[in-house]
Amino acid sequence: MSEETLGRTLLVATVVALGCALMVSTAVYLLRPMQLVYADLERNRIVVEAAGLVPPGSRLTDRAIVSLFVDLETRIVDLETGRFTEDVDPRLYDQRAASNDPEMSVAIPEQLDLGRLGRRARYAPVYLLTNGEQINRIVLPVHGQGMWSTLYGYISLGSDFNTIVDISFYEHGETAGIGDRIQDPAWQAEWVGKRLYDDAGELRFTVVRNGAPPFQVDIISGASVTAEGVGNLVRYWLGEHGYAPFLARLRVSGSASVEG
Amino acid sequence: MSYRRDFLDPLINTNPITVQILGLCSALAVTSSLLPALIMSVAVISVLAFSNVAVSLMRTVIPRSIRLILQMTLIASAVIVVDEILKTFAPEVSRILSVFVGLIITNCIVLSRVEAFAMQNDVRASLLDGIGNGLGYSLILIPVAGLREVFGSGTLLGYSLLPLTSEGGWYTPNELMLLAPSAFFIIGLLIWWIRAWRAQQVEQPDYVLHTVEDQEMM
Repeated sequence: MSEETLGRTLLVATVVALGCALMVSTAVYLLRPMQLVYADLERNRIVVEAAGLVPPGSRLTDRAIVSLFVDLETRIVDLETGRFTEDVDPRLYDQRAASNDPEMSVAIPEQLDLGRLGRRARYAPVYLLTNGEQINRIVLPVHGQGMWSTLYGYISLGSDFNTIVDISFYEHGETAGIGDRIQDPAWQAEWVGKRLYDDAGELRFTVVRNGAPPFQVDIISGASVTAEGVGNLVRYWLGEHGYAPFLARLRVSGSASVEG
Repeated sequence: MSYRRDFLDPLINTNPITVQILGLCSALAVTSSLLPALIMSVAVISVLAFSNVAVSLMRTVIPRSIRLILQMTLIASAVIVVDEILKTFAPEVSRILSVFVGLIITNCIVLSRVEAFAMQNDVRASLLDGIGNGLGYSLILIPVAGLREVFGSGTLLGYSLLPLTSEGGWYTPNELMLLAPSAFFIIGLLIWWIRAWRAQQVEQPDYVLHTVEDQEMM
């Protein structure tokens, strides 16, 4: 063991810290591009599952997921007017990038900002499952704050544009084993069949303690902040500032032909 | 001690789980099926080998006053790199293992080898000791995980071994096997079996009770 002086101690500590920092950042820098490819695949898988294209219990290959995803009908919705728009190419549109682009996004009024987002993109990509004229299912992207992180996921509605058939998140930074129970199949199953709006078209859906049908989902005990975050972001996105005008329009026309 | 012993001893004679009784937390958590246990074993072996070598290389320059925090910095960096590699190349297993890869940082086996061995031994011995202890850990982890998967889900590495009644077969899975306590029982039985076979591993009791005689009371 060598002689210990303050200078020497500080020097060794600095060299070790810098060496370790270099090692970790090099690894992350080299691996990130491959991780992004996987993240994209994971997002596609969640959309395809939310659209009900994956039979329960079966596992699809990566290739099958991508081909199902590419075959899904993707449309862009202008959230302001509640109509489909052709202004941007659905294949290239990046909602997350648009949310940070002042040209492509709008500020969310503070009293409406349940997902604590600040801004949202003007356009949203939605995925439709149709049989000819009728829309059987619609998959809507949603995001908002959980406890520690922004949660990104999809909510899927049935042909009445009111009943939830699926909710799933593909990206979050919540605590493993606690907040990440928002991905627990048992909790996701509680959402199925719950309704968003009452007969007057009022948004009644909430995530609360001891939630009961037809409009409520029970919080996750031990992860109530994250679960309430999910409830709030769903309330924001399915509310007046989100998809509500668009869904109301679909409910009247009942088909994919709500052009212009 | 020879290099050969550095490598072979931790497999059975000084096995980290059954003799040193370290690293039990992760041994309970990641052994409900075989694949995560295999990946976890590779991760622990890599981290042990890296941190033992790194600390051994620096053992003459590490100031004593900050040695633990330097060791932890090296261990934590190795674990982050391993975690990132898993997230890239085995994303699904990485999700199953979730926090337990990150928790290798706090796995007592790693710090104990670094502090007790690598600080006093040359690089070659430290590398062998690291790999040996990692393999010793795996040697317990893998059979425990195999047993739990076969009797808990009727499969091994996802392939059906015992056809389940729910799928028209004859085997009703033992669901206790999927819960952490079953690993406790299996590891306990393993320790019993190994100590029956290698009686020198049985510890001498620290205190012996003896009957108090009447005279001694006076």
